[in-house]
Amino acid sequence: MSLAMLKVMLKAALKEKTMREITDKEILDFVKAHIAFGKDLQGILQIKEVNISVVGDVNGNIGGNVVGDIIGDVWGNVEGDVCGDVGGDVRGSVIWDVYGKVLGKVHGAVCGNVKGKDNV
Amino acid sequence: MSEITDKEILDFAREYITFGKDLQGILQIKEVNCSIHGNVKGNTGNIFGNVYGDVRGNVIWDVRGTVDGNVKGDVKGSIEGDIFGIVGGDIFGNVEGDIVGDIAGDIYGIVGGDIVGGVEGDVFGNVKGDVKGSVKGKDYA
Repeated sequence: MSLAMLKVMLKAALKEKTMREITDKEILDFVKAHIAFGKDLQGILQIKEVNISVVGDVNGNIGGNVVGDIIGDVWGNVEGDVCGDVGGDVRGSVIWDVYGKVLGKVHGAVCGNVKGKDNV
Repeated sequence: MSEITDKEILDFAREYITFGKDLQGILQIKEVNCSIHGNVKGNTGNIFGNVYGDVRGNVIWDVRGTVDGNVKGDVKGSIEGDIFGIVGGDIFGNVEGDIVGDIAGDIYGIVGGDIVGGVEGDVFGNVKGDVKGSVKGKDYA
């Protein structure tokens, strides 16, 4: 058995143990207080809004805004603005403006102006 | 919510959301394994998908795709693609493509590295490094 497989099994077992310790009532009360659900046209349940932090990852798209920090990577695109800083790299393009500084390289072109004035 | 039963919600939550408790025993969401069609009003960890709206806070690590809007703060790493708009602050690294607009400040101070492509607009400040191509505008020196 590979180490990766063992890790997956261990994670699944840990999840099951953790989830067993939490009662249905606790989950239901929590979910009803913090998550809004809806159904699509086919009647399939989906999450419409999450009104609390997600301590770990979101393995899917977010259709609306993230009104908080993303303490990790975004593995897809951001269709709107990033109102704060990007602590790492932007692997794609920035279609509109960067209001702040770029501390690393720009591998592509800058199609607008560079207005910096604070000397290094 | 009236059309959705408690059993549906519970089954859905148990299938797609991982819950845990913090040290004080308070329930929290550890992981969401499906898309969220609206907003998230809180922080998250990694997002293995797209964000179709804004990120109103910071992204602590990388954006692996494109930002179709503005970045209103700093980018502390590199931008591997193009910037189609304005950069309001300094660029401390190299610009490996062209700068199609103007540079309002000094190139040495404002763009800390080299500009490997051309500058199609004007440079209003000083160039303290080498210009390896030609300057076709007026010389104000």
